[in-house]
Amino acid sequence: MESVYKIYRVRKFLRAENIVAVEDFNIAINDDQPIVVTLAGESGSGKTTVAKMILRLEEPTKGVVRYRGVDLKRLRGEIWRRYRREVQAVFQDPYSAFNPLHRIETVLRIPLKRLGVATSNQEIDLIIRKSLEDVGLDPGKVLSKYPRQLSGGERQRVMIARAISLQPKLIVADEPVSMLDASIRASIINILKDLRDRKGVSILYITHDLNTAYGISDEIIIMYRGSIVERGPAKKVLLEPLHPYTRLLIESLPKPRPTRKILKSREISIYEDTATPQHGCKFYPRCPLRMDKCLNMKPPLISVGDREVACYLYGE
Amino acid sequence: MRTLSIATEILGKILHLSTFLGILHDLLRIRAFAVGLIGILALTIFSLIGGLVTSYDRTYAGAFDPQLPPNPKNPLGTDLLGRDVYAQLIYGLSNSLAIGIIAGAIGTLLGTLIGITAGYFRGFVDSVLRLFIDVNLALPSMLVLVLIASYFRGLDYIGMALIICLFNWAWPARQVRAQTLSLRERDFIYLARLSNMGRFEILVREIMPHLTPWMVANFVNATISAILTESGLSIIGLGPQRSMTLGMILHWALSYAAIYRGLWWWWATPVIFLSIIFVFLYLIYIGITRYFAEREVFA
Amino acid sequence: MIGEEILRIKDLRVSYLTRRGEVKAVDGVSLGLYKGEILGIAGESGCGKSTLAAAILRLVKPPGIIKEGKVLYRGKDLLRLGEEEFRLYRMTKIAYVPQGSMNSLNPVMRIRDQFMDMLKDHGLKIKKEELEERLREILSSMGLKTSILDRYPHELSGGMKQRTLIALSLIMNPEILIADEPTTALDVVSQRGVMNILRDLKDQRGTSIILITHDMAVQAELSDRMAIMYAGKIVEVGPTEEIYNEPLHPYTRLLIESIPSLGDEKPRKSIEGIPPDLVNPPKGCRFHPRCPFYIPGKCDTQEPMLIQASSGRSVACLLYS
Repeated sequence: MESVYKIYRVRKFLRAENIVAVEDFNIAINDDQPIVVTLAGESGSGKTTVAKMILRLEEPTKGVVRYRGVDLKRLRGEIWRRYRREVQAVFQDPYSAFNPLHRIETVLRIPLKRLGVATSNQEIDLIIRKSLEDVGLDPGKVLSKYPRQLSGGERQRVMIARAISLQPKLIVADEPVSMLDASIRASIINILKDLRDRKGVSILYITHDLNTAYGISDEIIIMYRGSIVERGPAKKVLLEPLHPYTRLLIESLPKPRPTRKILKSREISIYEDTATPQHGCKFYPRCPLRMDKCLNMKPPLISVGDREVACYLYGE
Repeated sequence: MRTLSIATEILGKILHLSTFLGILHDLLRIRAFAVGLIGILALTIFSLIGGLVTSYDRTYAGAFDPQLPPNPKNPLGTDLLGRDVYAQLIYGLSNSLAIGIIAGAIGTLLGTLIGITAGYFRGFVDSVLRLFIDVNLALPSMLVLVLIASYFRGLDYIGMALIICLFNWAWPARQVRAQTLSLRERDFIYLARLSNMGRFEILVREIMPHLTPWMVANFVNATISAILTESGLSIIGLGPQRSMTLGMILHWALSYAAIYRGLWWWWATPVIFLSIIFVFLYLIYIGITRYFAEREVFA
Repeated sequence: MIGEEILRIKDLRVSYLTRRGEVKAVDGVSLGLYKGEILGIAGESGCGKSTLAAAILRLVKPPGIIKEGKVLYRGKDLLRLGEEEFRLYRMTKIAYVPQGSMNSLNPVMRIRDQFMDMLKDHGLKIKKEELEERLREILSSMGLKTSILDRYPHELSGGMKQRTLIALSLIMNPEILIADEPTTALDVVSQRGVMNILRDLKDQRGTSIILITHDMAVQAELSDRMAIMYAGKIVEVGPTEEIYNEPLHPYTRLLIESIPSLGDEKPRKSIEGIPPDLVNPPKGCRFHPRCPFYIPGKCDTQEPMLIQASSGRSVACLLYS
């Protein structure tokens, strides 16, 4: 089983401030079975930093990211290009993700040429057209336009088309729908789902909105201020959250049907800007179920069935 | 090889006439810019045509009777040495503008290149370049230029432009560096890196086009400051002795006590025209910054 | 407790005069707001909801102009008042938190200084001590400390910025608060914080709120009544619960169906197509090119008017006339 990539015990400090952005993060994605892994957490949880490390846009301070067994720092030449093809990205902001001076055709062309996917112009044109059609766009209408002439949803589709034109094995999607109107999010999510089901592409879906994650994820990892607090099969974790923070996230979700439930989540607001405690569980200041034990040592990931939770409520 | 093709592509894009004309059209709708540009064009045409009509020997000493007030033969009179002031104006105007534009262009280009390099590559390269920039900014430019100019007596106007360049690149460099630092973290740059674009290619194709507003504004600014510097150096006698610039005219006028002698046409001419140039160039600068501010480029 | 009608918008029309033509952003909108209720205005980006908010507060800037219509606050037409007179209403009676305002905070000024500037710009005269006191009261009711005012914007999270801005808008104890996309771009927990604040505002202070957002889940939870906007027009109005249980207009139905939720196995659907060009909107019903119930010959010729479907509910669709 060849892993597409793997991260071991990664820590990443932000310069000048010694903030631990990501701590002790492990994940392994194999290429034999496509999977959608959701990485969820608030802003500041470190999820974007993880994405950047996987894409080699940033380097881990400690630990290794491997692609097919090879440390990313050591990739060169042919295998480097292969890595760049097989691991692609879709970013959050369709308004700044495109250089406003390039036409869509150029946007799609450049990676194909630079990564040596195809050589002849004919081949490239063919691939571009097919990719656009796969995301539901009409190549004739879109190729000659500039990004500002397309809507947010269309731009996201173009970003996805760009990624799939390279035939990736893993797409890192960082909040791909959070800047789109709620009513068109579904179509983008469906495209991603389709990629897994019909094209065998794994997706690392990064989001803070668990509502969208439900329909698409196989596995989910919840992060809080840099550490993993819970992970496991998506539907289980979302419907029966174990970690208090996961419960908080789920309870914070707006309920789509108008109910008059009053939620007792007042505690959240007050503690939002608490400094992260130096010892013990990071969630301690905001945790409604905290114990003294939690202040002493950070809880490790404890196995509960096929899931893992970093909380002393579930063991030692 | 690829560098060459990229360079030609950029040139092609820069000379993309339709976009250029479109921008010009929008710029002209801003009154400040329109007035300024028309003013400068008028001055340029004036000096070019004037150059065809007059001839240079009118500027030689003794060509006319000295100290004549404006008269039909000498529209701006003559100076103490019998030189036609009007002719001096014609040549001085074009030289002053030329020095300004050359020094402005070189300084801006140099500053932009250094700024981009520092901002994009960061790390050691950035630290070194930043040192240069900061030292250059901290030095009292006028004093150093005085030193250099006095050493190089007998500069022509190109030489003048070059030494002025020594000090007008640092501020654009700093600005461009700051912009590059922030542009670098934008999503589309990430996508470019993910597409395996080479670093140089990213600089030129993705980043540089976004710096155009700053480059243009800096260019106008640098031109203004270059003309100012040259005039300053000329007035104290360190200008291009053999070339005619507005600053030089003023220098001679002051050296020969034109004010005391009541030869107002001699000293007023360079003063008025220098002021006019400044005003027009500054209007262009205001127009450009307003144009970009309206489009929220200077975010 | 829902009370009398305090704000009535009558046939408001706002357009942007661009080079391409006249963009009819708000094209004949009539709405009422009752005391102590949260009225939600929902619709995709570009449907005109933000322009509507700006128009109520007379903040429409060129090339936009308010062409016609009335905005009656307790009987007085705000659009006909002089600039000086209207200033007495803006921020004191009707407050506004614009979309994305947390991003337009000056990064090099402390929050407190910016607030003082903003208040001065609005011509509000208030003693420093009084201001401090009121701010403290409002901030603490939101779960924030006054020390937050001494920070710089970049030191605060998105949720905190949004809450401080809402706090600022409440200084003069306005009767109406217009919040444009207050929860967009915030993560779920911050969103929850803001939502709680808005609900507390209504419950505890009796403030009427116009909540503008495209997020139907947020609307479902907060608004008492809703108005759905499409392409500059209102297509449905009614009590939120009724609308969600039985949406009348096809667009409303599609909006509600696109909301994902936990535990829901059904695949979500999106709305096909893109929002129409407001310079040349489709003839007849503006939604007809994207409508699953489109009747050729009818929907592309006649423009549906907003008619009453039942008590408190109106809909603009030819299926019901």
